[in-house]
Amino acid sequence: MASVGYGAAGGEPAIILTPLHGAVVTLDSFDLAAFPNYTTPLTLESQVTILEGSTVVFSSGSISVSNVGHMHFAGPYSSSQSITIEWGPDGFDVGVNNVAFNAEGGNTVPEPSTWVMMIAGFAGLCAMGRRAPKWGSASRA
Amino acid sequence: MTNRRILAALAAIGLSATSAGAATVNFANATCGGGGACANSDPIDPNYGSTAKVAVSYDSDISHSNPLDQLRWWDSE
Repeated sequence: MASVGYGAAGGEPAIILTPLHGAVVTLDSFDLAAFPNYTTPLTLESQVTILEGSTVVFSSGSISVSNVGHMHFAGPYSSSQSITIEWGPDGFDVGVNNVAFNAEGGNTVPEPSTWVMMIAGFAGLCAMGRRAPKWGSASRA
Repeated sequence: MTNRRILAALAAIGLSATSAGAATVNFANATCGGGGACANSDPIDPNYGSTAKVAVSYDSDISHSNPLDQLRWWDSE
């Protein structure tokens, strides 16, 4: 993998997905690989753990992670609290990429372009309402 | 459809539309937390990859919980 998130030397890295506004987050998949910039193939022992909230829902046990190609992990794992991907015990030369997730439910949060569309619609309605003749004000011949 | 109905439809779409739910964190597009030029091994912006419905955060060592010791990223040479 060309670009990867990794941890400090001796550290156990984590990527945390926290749903907002009452949504439920689902982790679909991610990739794991060892540091690719060595001239020789590299294999490191690591362990991947996935938590839904504070509950461990997946533990890979000790696995060999190579810098040639990558390992693919697939869910789905869902939580209304958080999804955490941990790997280690030394995450310095082992990294994660392509973390695919989605969120459903919760309160709607309009994007800026949506706000513009909504405000333009209301402003147009107000403008037309001002220009339209009021009931009973039209002159009769 | 009258102009008034078109404008009402625009407003209704704006009210009902929500942000896209699906997203992927791909570190090829990562930004650095320190600002300025982004180099390999810089800490990742803690909000990188977040959406309107999901906050993505990073911790390089969850046992230390040091907010300054964030996840970093590498690029292949």
